[in-house]
Amino acid sequence: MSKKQIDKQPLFPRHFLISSVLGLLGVVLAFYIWDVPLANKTVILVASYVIGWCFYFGAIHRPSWYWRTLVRWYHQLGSPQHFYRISGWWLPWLTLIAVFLLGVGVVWGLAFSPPHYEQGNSYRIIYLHVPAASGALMGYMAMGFCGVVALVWRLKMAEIMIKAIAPFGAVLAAISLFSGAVWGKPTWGTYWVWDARLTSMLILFFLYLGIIALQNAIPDPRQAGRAASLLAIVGVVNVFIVRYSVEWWHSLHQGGSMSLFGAAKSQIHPSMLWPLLLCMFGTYFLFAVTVFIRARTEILWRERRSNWVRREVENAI
Amino acid sequence: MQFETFADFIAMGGHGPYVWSAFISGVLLLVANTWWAKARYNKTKRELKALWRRQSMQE
Repeated sequence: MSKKQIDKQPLFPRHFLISSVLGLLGVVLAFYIWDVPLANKTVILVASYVIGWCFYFGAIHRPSWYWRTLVRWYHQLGSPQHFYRISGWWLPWLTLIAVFLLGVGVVWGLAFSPPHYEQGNSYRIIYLHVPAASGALMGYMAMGFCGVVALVWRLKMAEIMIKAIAPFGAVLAAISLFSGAVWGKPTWGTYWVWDARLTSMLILFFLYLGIIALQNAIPDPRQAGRAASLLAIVGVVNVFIVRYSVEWWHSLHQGGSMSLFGAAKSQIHPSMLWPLLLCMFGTYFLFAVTVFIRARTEILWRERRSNWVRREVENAI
Repeated sequence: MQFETFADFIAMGGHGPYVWSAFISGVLLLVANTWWAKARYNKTKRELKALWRRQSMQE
């Protein structure tokens, strides 16, 4: 897009829309979803409007700069070559951070945090169970987001990301199911019940497997990507069912006891909360590592006819 | 450290089998998954090189 064309983009409606949507999102988040005190609600409300108005004024005063930046981001995000270069730079650092966080978190959780007053030492499974479950849920949300981007803007990178996220998401869902079952035996007296939380988590695992199977079943990568995007979007409903199942139905599974923004503070003592947070963020970083590796593999294979891939592979060793 | 001896640490107050089976299988899965992704990446690179070599021999 040339500079003239960029300057001629219709500014007012689109940016007014963006600022209103962000503001509205803030209102909905602040007043209906998060159970936060009124002062925090006001902060969230004001912040979302400020961000919205920044978008709006950016569009009014520096239209060409603003549009060029947006267009550049769009092209960079959608460019496999750009992603390959950036991810190659990030990978060693992400791996280092993931190994460090997981190592410290797991050792702290297993050996140094105090035992639970009722469950004794069996509760230590939490340091595996909760990070795995939350990683699986967040991974599916990311896949749903990529699904929307892939269907609406037809970005090749979004399809590649779905393919890269699904395997590790399935592994995390499997870990959370298995560790939950093993934790259930000494705590609930049973490995498995057909309970709302457990069943919806099992469905999440099957959804991940379904997405992997769908991509392997369709030979054309673009068609496979589109089908997987659709399944990813539809399956997002299940993420909310998993998240709120313990509140909507009488469940054997306990409700959430961690909260970052809640009116009540986290119900976990810091001596247990800190190792848990380390394990959670370690899992997220490990997620990023495997997603990057898988996305890079997929990019090399899909772009194998282009010159830059050839240069990259031939010069690497 | 919450445990007096290493044997106490392994026993986990009688919950050892549950805790350790969960952790060992979980960590193994995480490591295997990452290793497998990396192996697949290297294999793809080798396959691409072989493909280009075949193509250049045909030309």
